Amino acid sequence: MSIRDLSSQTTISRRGLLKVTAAVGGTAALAACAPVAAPEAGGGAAMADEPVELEISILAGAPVEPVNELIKASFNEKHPDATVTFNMVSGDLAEKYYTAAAAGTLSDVFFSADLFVVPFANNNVTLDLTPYTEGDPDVDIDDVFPNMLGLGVFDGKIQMLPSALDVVTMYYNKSLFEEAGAEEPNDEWTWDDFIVNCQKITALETEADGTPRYWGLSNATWSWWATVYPWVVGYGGKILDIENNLSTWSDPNTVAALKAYASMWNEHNIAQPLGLDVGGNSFFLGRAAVYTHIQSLRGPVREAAADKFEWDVQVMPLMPDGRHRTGMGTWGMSAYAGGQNLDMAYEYIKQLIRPTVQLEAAKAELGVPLLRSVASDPSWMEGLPTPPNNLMAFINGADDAILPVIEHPGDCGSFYAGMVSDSYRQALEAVIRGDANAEDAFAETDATIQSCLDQNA
Amino acid sequence: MNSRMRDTVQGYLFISPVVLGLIIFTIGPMLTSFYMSFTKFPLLRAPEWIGLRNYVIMFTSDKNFWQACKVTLIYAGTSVPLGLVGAFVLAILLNQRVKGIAFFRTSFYMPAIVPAIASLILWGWLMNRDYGLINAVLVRLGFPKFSFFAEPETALASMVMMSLWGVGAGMIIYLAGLQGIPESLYEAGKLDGANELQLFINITIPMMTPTIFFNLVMGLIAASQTFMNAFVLTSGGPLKSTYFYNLMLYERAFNWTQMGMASAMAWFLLFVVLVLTVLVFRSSALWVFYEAEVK
Repeated sequence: MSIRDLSSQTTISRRGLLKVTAAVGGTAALAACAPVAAPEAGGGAAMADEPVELEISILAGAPVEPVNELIKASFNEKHPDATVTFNMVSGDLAEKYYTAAAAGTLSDVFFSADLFVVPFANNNVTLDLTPYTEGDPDVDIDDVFPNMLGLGVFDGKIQMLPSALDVVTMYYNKSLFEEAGAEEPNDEWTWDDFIVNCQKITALETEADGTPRYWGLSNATWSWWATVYPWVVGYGGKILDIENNLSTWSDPNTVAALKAYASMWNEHNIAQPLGLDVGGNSFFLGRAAVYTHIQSLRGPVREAAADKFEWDVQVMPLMPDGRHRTGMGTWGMSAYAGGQNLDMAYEYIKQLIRPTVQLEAAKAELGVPLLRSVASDPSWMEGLPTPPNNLMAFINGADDAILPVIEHPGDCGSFYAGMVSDSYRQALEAVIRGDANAEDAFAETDATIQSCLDQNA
Repeated sequence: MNSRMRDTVQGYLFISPVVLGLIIFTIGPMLTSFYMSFTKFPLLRAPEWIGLRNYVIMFTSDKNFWQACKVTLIYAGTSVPLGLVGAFVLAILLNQRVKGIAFFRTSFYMPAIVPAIASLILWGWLMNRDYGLINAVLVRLGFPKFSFFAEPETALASMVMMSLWGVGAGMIIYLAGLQGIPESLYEAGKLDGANELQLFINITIPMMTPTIFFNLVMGLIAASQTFMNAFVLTSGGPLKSTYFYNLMLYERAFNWTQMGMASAMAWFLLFVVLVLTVLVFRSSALWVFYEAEVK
């Protein structure tokens, strides 16, 4: 057991610490209080001959399970004596992970996602991978798209290695645009172009009560931070002034951005109304012309569209700042800080960003390459099923992708959960439904979040 | 050890599994949650004592709390009386001696034993604006399509309406109560010249008040703990119009990882339910009649 192991246990389990302290005596206890030593470069390799059993918690099915099979194969090439066991998890992962971490029984490595990064890091559940990557000659961390890597980083420390380049991109129904006589989306479109063309789609056919039969934009991701926050950034707004500990949802630029976003519902009437359930995802059913999501939706969209409609993908329209502002959302792998095999856990996780694994995953349509070196070589696209044809849209949006704000104190939540998430969604819903004006609604959001910021100052 | 002592020890041994189970799995967690309600407990860190702060935040600065209380009160205040009346009427109808009564009784009771998730998904589909059976009928009758759960003005009312689906559970209790009314009371009433309505008002209803009382208490407790409907169908929306108290409690505990706040909410709910139950019990002296009771 390394010093790092001891240090991690002190944060997870007091009972564990007491046992260890009793066992190794005062000297070791003092050592445990000493600064944590960074692992040596390739430290995992030094353990290669030791029989190690790693438990990996993953979701069953694609893409997580097959990608982990690739990782496992790559890992076992280097560590043939190590045994890797998959523990399939499902349901409410946060609840399960929190319980397992509290009991000290979380798997050595586990499936994670961007939404778990901050709460897990805040509570010392995940291992900081930064010192491992820094000293590892097998890993070129600078080759990873920095925005995407940033989604797994908290407080400058890598808590999760992402699995793929998961940038929010525009899926569009070519057939519907064509039928409406609208221009097909291109990479020079602004949001104004988007609105003008989508108005042709909503005008295509209406029901007896005047409700459009087809919509320009699906409502499936209306409140997702990766959909909403790019508008704020694209309009030069901000939601948090960290230096002054101020919530700034009512900043004039922010309000202008959110008004513009909401106008697709309450002014231009091109977006599927909130709560309007058309019996499933409106894009999949051919009832919405555009759906914004990450690359992993290619398979499900292809299956849903089948021969019903043609489709493709495009980068998000340009914002007033001249950038294709968009968000991201990804899954990845993290190591449990309280695990018994930290070095080997890292050895397993790092396979995720090995060029061979990334290329194999991309060729199997399990992801878009996360590494610039792999993404820039068109060979990853060879033989992939179509549509989409414009696969480069998934990569071209990457440099304009933005990271979520994660600096709120833990008690106040984040874009993903808790007070921040709840407050902005409530305000946005009220504005979109025409129940409140943006200035008042977001001033209330500020008041709610500010009270939490003040309490945690 | 004498035989009396031995009997005592054996008695305690026999009841010990239940007593220990009660202490370990019920009273213990309850007391722990009471303690938690005075702490900040984000689950992965040790609880930190913060006194009454959770209760102060809950009552003074969390606007969602009062919205959740309002939604739950409205729901309980409408669904419980409707359920009581609906189940009672149904029980009276199913207490008639008509052909095929067993089939009807089974049919009306069946929804009470269907798993909640399954019936909620079913209702979600039935009430779907575009593909739902209810809207299909409405459109055939010349009405416009209706967005049951999609509009803040109608979502809670739709849930109240949906709650009537489960009246079979109350109905079966009423039915047992109706069948327990001695026939001699009706015969005596008829001899005195009472008509059917008078028999119903002066014999059936008074004799059924203990059952109504039981169903009222159980209904109030169940309504105050409503969770699944909103969790499955609306997530508390639109615009928090179906944001039930227990949904908020769940969110605070498992999405916001504020176990301390969730515990405080749980204890407040217990207090409110306790007060309501005591009020109903106190009022029962005025309107509940027991056969053997002399007033």
